[in-house]
Amino acid sequence: MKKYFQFIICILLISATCAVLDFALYPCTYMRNDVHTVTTEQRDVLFLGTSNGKMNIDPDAALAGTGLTGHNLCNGNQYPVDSYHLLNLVIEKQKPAYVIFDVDPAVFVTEKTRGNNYLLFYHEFPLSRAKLSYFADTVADCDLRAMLFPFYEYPLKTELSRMKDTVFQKATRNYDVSYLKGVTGEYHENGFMERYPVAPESFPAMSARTFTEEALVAENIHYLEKIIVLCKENDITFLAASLPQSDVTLQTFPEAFDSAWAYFDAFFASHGVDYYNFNTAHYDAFPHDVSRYVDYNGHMNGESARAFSEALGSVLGFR
Amino acid sequence: MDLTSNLFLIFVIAAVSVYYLAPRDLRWVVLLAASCLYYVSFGLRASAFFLFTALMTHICAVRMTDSSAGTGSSDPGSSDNGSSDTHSAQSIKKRYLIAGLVCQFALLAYLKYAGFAVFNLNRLFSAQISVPQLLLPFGISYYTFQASAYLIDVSRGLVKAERNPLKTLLFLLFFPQLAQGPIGRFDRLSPQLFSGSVFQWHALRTGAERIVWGLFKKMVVGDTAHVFRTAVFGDPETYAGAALLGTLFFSAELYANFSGGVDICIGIARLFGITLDENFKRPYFAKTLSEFWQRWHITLGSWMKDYVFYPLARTRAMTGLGGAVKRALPGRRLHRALPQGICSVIVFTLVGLWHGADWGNIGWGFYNGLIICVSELIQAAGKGKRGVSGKRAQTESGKQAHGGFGDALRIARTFAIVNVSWYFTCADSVSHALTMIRYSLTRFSPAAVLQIPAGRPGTGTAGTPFALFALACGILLMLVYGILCERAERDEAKPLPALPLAASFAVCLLLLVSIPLLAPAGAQGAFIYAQF
Repeated sequence: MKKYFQFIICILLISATCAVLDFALYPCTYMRNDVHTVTTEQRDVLFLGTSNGKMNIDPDAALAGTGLTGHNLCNGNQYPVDSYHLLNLVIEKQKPAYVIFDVDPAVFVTEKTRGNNYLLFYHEFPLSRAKLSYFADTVADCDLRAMLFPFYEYPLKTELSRMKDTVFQKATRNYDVSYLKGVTGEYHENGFMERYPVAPESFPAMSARTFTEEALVAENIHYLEKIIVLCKENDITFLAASLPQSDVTLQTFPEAFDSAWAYFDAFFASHGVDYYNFNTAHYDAFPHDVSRYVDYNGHMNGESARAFSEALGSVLGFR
Repeated sequence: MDLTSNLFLIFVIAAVSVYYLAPRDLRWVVLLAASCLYYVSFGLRASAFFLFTALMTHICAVRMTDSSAGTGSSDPGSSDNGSSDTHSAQSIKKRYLIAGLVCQFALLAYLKYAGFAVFNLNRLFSAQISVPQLLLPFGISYYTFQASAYLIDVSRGLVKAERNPLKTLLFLLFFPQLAQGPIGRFDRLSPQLFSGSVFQWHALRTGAERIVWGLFKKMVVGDTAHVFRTAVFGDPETYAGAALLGTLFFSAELYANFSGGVDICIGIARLFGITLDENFKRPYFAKTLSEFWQRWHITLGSWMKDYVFYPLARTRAMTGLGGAVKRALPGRRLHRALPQGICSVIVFTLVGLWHGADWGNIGWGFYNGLIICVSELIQAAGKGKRGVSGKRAQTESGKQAHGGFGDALRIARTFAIVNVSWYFTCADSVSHALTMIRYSLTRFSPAAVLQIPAGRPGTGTAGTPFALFALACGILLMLVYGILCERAERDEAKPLPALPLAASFAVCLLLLVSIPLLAPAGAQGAFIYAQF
């Protein structure tokens, strides 16, 4: 009996250590706010996708005057597998009427690295069927740090510097967005990440853009199809949109972009999904001059993002 | 399922729980089911090859035992087993043995070496035979050797064949050792596998401790050293000054990665109350290369010794050679050393081949064998010393001679010899290895290592000092523990004290927590020896 209690105590101590370290060190990210919002409050329109969507779509601007509520659940490094499980989680908690998916071709030709990239989303999931499903699909294959010590994802120096705020926010269940204000931008309660303007001469180097059907990662397409099916099964209107890139970027990689647009045109047509491409069919809906962006990867500054969001709302038929 | 993945952790917890909940006589079934599940997770095609090997092994072993049973001498270990077999029974036994070994090694040779053979044939004869792209079943090098050892032991009458094919399957498939050994022996492993262990808290504790130690070694030391080693060998021009450190990093990486993985495997087996053979014994403390190979990958070494070296040494050719040398050079011990040296060269060349189907590995094995051969010949040719390397000089009291400084020199010498071979293991080609050796001697500048981006992805070299610090801490910990174990082994009167539970738990918890703090943040490196 003594050994049995010692064993239980050991297990409890290990669990407590992991929990305390996670509580103290894993920083409060805007994904924490995002997941909290969409699992506790009803939202009519959900935006899913990559960092382009995060920085270019202000749900309030896109849905102004429509009476609809929206939340931007986009994020950098969000692959279709993440979008699928995020949507799965939302559906478990509430039922949005629309899902707008930001189609960034670059994501579909890159493979998500097995490792810490899942934790940004997974860590914030409340205990739910969606979390178990997400674990089985992704985190199960990651090394055990992902499950036992998710704080390994961030530099210890950063975690220690933010520990006081982290503990306070978690202990008081504080979701105040003022903690998420940074040097380059600020996060808003509707999930929109506003970037402060950057002069074009200060843009970081342009990332190479390639897109061929041969380079498509099957898993990404598979999960995009699952998202479409999930929406159909739950009577959610699924709309796809490729957000505007700057003229400079479009003209630097014309073949890659043409190939991508042709592929997605055919893909969404075959799935009966309305696809709005702001680089082709809806090119004129929003200007593409580089001064509206903060880099060559399609991320807009806050003012331009709001203006684009209004245009997006109009094109999608909300306004 | 990777050994360090969450899925594997859950799998092991579930398997251990079900094992001890099952009735004792059915626990081997639980092990078999878990092992099957583990193996199938790597693909059904690979399973087909494994089943073929297991089936052939079982059939041949049973037939061999039956042929002996027909002569009334089926007891294992019977001293007159050979002589009382009739000639035909011996012939049948031999045929089944050959059939079994041919099936096992033909499959291994085809799947692992066909590509290499075809590539070289094409080069030699300017042919254009297409190089086959073959599936290499998971663990094939390990289970093939384990199966062949079993067959040979049955043929020698050392063990009796297992009649239950499912138990034979379990012996070959036992999942903790499938990934990277240790290569088990039937006489030691089977009783533990088949009888079902009684639950013991001590086994649970020692198993968990071993797993944590293995995880620490692999993830902190092995993976960190890997980052530095791949950078140095991947870009020799940029990091020329760190060429020497590159091979030292590989020393740390290979040992931590392999021994860490084996620690995890041994620890998992221990959770089931099963004791696997040790595969490492602090090899970098070896004073000769021969001793190094008695401490490194011990089960492969002992397999080679029992099933290749000794049979080879007892062949007529070798005994004849020994006799000829004795007649030609009486008074020296070369009549023993020369045949043994030649056998060592052959054995180690095979060890190199086992490690990989390329000339680099074969050359590496040959290099090791040659050094051992030459050292044995030199020792034998010397006056007043015993002629077989690996045996230390004896004092009058019969105790081992301890010479602190002398031992340190010999350890350093052996370490250097081993590290020279690592150049050829890490490099892409012989010329690349020679370039790295040249840079080590002519452009040594350890500060170059600070130019290696070893922090988090995207942070450049900002995290490099911390990564070096983490590596140094890990190596220091391993070194201190190694020294304590060496001393405890030398002085049996002062064994390493067992820590009380609280202290042991605290140490394990610290090691566990240090993994996320010290290990590289990116995706983990693979287990090097799991590719064989």
